[in-house]
Amino acid sequence: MNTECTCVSKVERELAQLSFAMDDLRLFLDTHPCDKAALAAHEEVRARRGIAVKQYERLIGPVNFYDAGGTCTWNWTCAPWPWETEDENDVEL
Amino acid sequence: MWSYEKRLQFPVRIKTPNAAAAKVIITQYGGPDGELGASMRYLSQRYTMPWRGVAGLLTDIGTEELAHLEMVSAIVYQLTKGLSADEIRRQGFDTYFVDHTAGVWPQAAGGTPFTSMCFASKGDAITDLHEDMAADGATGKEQQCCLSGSVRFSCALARAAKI
Repeated sequence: MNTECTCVSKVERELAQLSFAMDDLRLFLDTHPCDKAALAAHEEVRARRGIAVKQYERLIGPVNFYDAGGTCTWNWTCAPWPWETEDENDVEL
Repeated sequence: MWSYEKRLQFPVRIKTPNAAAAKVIITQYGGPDGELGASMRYLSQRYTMPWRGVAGLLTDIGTEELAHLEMVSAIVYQLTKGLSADEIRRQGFDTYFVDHTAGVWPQAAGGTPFTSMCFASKGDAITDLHEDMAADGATGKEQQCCLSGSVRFSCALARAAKI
């Protein structure tokens, strides 16, 4: 259990860091669209973020709502919402 | 359009609720220099921005402000969770609670409801960009002010949310 918690927060942190790097690079590139170093950095982080998203989805659930799905169960609402605290439980409809 | 990402820009995990801190932090949600005003400012101004790159910048910053908005409201939500009637009174949260209970509602720390009068969209690039810089300075000042006295703790959280 403990190992999984550590793993979840590690994957969560990694996705946050890589996304943040992309968010910043995007703002720079909006006004510097021909900056080769920034373009290369963006490509590198984008590839790494793709892997992090896959890991996150495997461990926690879909990140973007276009990637939600499921054959038996709709997975978008399975995992807790990001504002929830650890002690929260789902309420049966 | 927008597509939702089911994650906070930076995770929020508050262990100990503190309604007094929430009363201060809520201003970063719906106050004059809060994230709601910030996102609406940039997203409103972009239409009349003549440079495509800058219009993109306003779109992307406005979008990121929405992510900040979500972090701040998660902080407020977690800070006000599971409080007893006595804690609500003692922590000075009764004046908010009587109207909204623990519902998250955009207001300034002093109770003024969110108003779009806290930002401008004038259809003139230079005017709007000046307003953006003033707004950025005001947000910085608000966070700096919070660093003194008993609200030091609240502000550390507000600053964390502004990463």
